[in-house]
Amino acid sequence: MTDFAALQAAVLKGNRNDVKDIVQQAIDNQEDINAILDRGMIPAMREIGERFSRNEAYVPELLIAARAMQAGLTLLEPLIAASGRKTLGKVAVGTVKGDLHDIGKNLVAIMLKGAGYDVLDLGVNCDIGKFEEAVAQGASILACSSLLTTTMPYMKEVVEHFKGRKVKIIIGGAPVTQDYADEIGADGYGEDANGAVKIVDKLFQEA
Amino acid sequence: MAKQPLILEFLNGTRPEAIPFMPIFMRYAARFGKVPYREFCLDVEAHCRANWKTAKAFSSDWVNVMSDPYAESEVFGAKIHYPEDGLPQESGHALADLDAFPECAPEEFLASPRIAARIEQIALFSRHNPEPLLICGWVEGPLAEYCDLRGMGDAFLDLYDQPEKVHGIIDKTMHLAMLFIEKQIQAGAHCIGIGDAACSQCGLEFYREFAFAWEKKLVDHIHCLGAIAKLHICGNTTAILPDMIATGADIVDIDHLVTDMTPYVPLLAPHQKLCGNLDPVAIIQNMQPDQIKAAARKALAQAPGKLILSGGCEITPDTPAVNILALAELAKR
Repeated sequence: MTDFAALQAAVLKGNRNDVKDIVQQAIDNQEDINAILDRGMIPAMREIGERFSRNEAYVPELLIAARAMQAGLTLLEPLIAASGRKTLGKVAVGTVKGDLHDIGKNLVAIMLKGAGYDVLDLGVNCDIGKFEEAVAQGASILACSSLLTTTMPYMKEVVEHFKGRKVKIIIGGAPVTQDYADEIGADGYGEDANGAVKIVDKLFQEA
Repeated sequence: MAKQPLILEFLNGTRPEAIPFMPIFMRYAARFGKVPYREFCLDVEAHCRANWKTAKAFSSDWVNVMSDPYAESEVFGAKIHYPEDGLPQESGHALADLDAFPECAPEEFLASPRIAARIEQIALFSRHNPEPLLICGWVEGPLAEYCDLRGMGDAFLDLYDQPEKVHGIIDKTMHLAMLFIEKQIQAGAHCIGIGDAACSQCGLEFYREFAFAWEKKLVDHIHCLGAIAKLHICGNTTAILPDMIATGADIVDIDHLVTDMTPYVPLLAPHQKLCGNLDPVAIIQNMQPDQIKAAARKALAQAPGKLILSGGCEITPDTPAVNILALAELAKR
């Protein structure tokens, strides 16, 4: 029997050696892969996201938890591929054109991956062409990040470019607000990395 | 006796009724002064000219050397690209290997172009300061500098994985920061700002372990040299604010993400003031002048006689001039 509580605790503490040991043991015991993810690692990453939103956890805790989860995922990935398990959906994350800040974008990518989404990290300085490529690769949601007020208007260009198409656009970043998201017609706004996961959850549920 | 800058008078209690106005102008100053951002960062005269012009137009009570965080990290090997009219960009991080931190002699540090330019900026401000305005130098704080060198992701993982090495590198960068402080004060700075923005992202435990002691040491050093210290950590600093105040910094910046300043006022020593904390985008950039004044009054009411009026961080370049003038008018009234 896999100790899912111990697995969750190891992810939350960022203890990658424990995560590796527990996941390996679970694999050896032919534990259901979905259970390892859905009862062990994903709830832990969602919990750390909630703590982050409540200012009970900070960026280092998110990073170390994500690294621990990745240690487990590395062991699981071949089995996940073989099992045909579907991710919750594909989301592309990128900092918009003109903006080279990546920490917020990286946190969103980490949290989405931790929540069970397939994440395409487009990097920084992303133009519409890059977002188009992501859509061509199957992204259903484009998450656009901006730290600078001077690059925020590019989010509007992205929203307008994809208007009328099935793909959803969500936005976030330090100067970005719900009001701005409403103003430019974005499909959602993430106040922080955990907020981005919640809005992605909502959009996929509505789809 | 020579007239003192208003901010100093407010801090030392001779002008308790004043409301000093201390907005952070960087990209705004460059645009307002019609100086391409590359020049604003690299050209001493252009930087000072744009700063003066902006300070005068908006009745700001200070001028400063702020433009970007890379002055020090460039000395330590960071490759910085300066676009003609954009923010400087770091191509890769300077410190891929923690054991490869470059030894940097004090004379080499001081002779590097960005460091020398900052000291020259202070000297130029100081040579012509009839108002007088508060002249503020700047250094990167311990954790911010470490993040500049490593990138925030790797830097924060290092805090867990290699704390001794992190301390060692911070010690080296901060010893040079002490020297940089000394030269800026000798050049005429009344105040030295310590920018340590990364601390709002790391939580109290890491702040105490990696930043607080050095911030306090920098503040003490500034005081020993006869200047005042300003501690700038933007973002949500709710968890670390009591410790920030405990550094003894004379001016403790507060961003808008700290929603209520009231609990922190009793923690201030008589020489200390808070500075902030209007939202630079949602309020200063996007609201109407009357709404901005109302928000400023609300902020001032949270720390009566203890607040220097400012945005929580940099005034954004697209902020309408009338919005900044509204704040200046409120402060000067």
